[in-house]
Amino acid sequence: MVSRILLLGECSREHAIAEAIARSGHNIRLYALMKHRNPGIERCCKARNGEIVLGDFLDPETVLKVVRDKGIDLVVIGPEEPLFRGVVNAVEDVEGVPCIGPRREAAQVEQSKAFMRRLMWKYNIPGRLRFWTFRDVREAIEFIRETGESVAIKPARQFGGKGVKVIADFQAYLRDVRSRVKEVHVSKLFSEISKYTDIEDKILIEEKVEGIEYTLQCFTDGVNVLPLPLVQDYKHAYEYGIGPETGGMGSIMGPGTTLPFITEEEYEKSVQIVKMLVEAVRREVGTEYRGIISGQMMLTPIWGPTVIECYARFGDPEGVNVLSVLETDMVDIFEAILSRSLPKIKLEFKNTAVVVKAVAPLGYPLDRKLAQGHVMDIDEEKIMEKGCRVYYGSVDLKDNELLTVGSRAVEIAGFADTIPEAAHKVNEILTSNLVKLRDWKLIYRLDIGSRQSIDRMIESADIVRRAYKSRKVEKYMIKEWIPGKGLVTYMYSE
Amino acid sequence: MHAAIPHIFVTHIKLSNLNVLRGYVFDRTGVFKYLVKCLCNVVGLFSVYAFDEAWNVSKIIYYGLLALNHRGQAGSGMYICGGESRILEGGGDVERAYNVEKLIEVEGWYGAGWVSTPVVENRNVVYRHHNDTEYLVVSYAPIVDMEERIMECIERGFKDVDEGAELLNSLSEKVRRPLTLIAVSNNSEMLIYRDPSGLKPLQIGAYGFDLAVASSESCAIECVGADFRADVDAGSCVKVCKYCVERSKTRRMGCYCALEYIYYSRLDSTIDGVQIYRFRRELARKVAERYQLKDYDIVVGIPETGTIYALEYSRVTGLEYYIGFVQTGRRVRSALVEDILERMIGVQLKMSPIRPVLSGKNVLLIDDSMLKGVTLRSIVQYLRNRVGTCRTSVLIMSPPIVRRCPFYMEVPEESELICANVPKSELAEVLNVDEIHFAEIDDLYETFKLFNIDEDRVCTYCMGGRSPW
Repeated sequence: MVSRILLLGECSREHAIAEAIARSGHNIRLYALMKHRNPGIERCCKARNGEIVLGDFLDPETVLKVVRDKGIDLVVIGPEEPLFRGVVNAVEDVEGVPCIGPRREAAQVEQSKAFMRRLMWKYNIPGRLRFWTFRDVREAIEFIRETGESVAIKPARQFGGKGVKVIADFQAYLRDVRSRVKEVHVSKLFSEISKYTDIEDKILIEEKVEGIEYTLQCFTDGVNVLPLPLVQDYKHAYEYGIGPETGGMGSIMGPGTTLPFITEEEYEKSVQIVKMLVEAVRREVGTEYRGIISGQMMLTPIWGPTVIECYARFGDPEGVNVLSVLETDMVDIFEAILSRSLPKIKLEFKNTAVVVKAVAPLGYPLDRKLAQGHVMDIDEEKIMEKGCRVYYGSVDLKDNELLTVGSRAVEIAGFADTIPEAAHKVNEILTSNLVKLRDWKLIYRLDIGSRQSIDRMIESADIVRRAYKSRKVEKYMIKEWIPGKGLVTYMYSE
Repeated sequence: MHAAIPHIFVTHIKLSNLNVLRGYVFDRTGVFKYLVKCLCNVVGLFSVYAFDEAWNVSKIIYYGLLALNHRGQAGSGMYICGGESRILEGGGDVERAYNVEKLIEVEGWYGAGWVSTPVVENRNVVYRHHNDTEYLVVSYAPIVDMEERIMECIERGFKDVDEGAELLNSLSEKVRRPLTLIAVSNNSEMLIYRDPSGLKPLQIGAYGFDLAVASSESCAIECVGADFRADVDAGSCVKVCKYCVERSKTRRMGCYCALEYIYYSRLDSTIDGVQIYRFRRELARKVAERYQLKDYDIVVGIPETGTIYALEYSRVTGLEYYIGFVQTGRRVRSALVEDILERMIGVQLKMSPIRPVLSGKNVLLIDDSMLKGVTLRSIVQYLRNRVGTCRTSVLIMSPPIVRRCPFYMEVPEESELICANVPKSELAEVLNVDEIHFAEIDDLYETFKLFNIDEDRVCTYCMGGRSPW
């Protein structure tokens, strides 16, 4: 029986995990390791007779020390970076303490986009995209000049979710403008990523597909996969869905397991894909994947459900959507993961729509320095009175003042029968000054979860659905006639 | 780089003529600039803002303006910012006004552009230095005569969108002008404002994580590969800068300009949630139910706007639809051409009749609207005298236009509007047609109702109806 749990991480997602653990009926103590004092996580730890420890949770030695000092018997990893640094390997191998979170080898599904793509091709997993990897900047630029297609340019190694550039290129008359942007980005990426020595491929260029994105988060014990309800995350930083990419400025869910624009069949297909991924990891690296695996999916004209990225953790903010309404005992789930008996667990959620919106200091995500060090005032009581909940994120509690650290400072979750109603509740909080910074502005998005945005999503999903359901060629091939060159066939299956 | 300018201005700039063209200046840094004093009445707005400075937006703005060219064909211009800011001003035919190959040499990662119809002098574009910042403001309504007040609102708007919107709303209401505008400053900021009347369209879109786009119509957003996001709310202000897109809380119940939907917008656009194509189809149905005209062999639309109406009329009444005309040369919107001779040239080139379709037939012609009646008269003349049509009549899909638009929609003076001067009973005679019919204002109201738009939100002032604003 688990009795002392250590949680690694310090953002809203970890606050939601801590809250879910703190709701457990088991007799446990909760500890957390973080760099900045997160008042939400601290509160949960205190409620379960534990405490927080300030320190570098990315460093295996620091984690080991806390595990020993506090007599920890289960470590739960929130974010991805400790996985990449081998924290799980250290804790399991040195102390023999089990973890919720995959070992470094298995976490490659997130750390290396090239690894994930190759895995999908090798094991014939549906929902894959054509991709090319590059180790040399000139080759990459030459490739871009020659193809002139819609592409997603990504760093081959995950670094904080940054560096992805997606360029749709359907207008031949604007090709030169876009080629230049692609080239500049490739050069910039190469110079930034060359500081990481843990990876050979530097960048990855993927065919860019159009469609509707959604996230499927799952628990897995390495053999069995237990899917959570679908969540949709909004990546654009600014109002109306404009502006640079972020970790996510908000997310919508429910009621029920699927979203208004994703069918039951598509949900099942997506779960199947994640199951195949888990199985492929086990066969490829020989370790069992234990913890959370999330597919950042897209409904595309090629496949229907297609994998855009793979996370070795909960999404942030998507994790908040599911965990805030999870009724099943989190510790039961963890024990089932460890004993490889997930099928025994029946996941239950409050039957409600959940909308989460992030609030970040002005400057995020382009200039984190601008976003740093501002004093935040938040009236949590009033927010609770209005039926919403606060999840603390990138903040630091120092001398009784909340300071922004530079990323999304808090996330507000609202609950109602429908997504637009839940979104409206959160918007009321955001516009009524209950969260504010002294002498600095906050950014947030009022458009997330609006009736119009969901209608537009339904419309786009219908277009994509018609396209993938009417594809003539079997076995996911694409046939293309290039005048003067002949018939070209792209295989999506071997 | 500066030497490249003459290559870009194809239409009108000759340096030797500097003294006769008003408004050429060198700014403080010595960069050659053209202070806009063009002859313009702005009818189409377009702007782009890149969050990644690697972008060069001048060519994107060019294609945006090209897609808005149907709104105005007398002049165009753009303000490109980010590198050294610069104004390019060209003729009304966007395609020929700029050398698109050279355009990519004009560096800048944000900027705005416009297309215009002719008036006597510039009223809509303000370009100036103010408190150490360079601004360009372009509006659908005249702003040059109240430059100071506009600048005050804009500067406030950049600091606080809510206050800016309040100021602009009360100014719009006080001067009774739809001051819908786009303002760009060389401080890397852009302000998008839609006036409280909502009569002038303004929409916002995005291209991936990289660009914010604002445009009069969705067709231009699509043309540059971006996705439509929202119509800017009437009476509200949106600020776009590197670190945020901020929208004001202010909001008004907007109105709908009937002419915008009947004639002005492009068929592939959607404005304030109304798909233009569907609107025109529904309107044609209503009018077709009212006028089931007998004794005709074929129905022919007058290109280009008349075509969709004629098709739908044919579908409802069973009267056969034919293509009656072929176009020579580039597309000219004849109603927007001021000069009578030029207009005739435009019409004649646009409308070369297909004789086997029309000769010896009883022809019902359909057009969207009739302003001066010159176009129609010359077509009918040609059809009767040179092509040999028999019965030749006209059905117009808007009510008679009898008043000048107080909100700067391009409608000529009352003395030039045929329906304001010739009694209905004499129209057929004057135009040399067998019969002429118009849509009723009620047809319009009922069509709007299909889109859940109440009739008291629809402006039909130019048609003798009411103005809700």
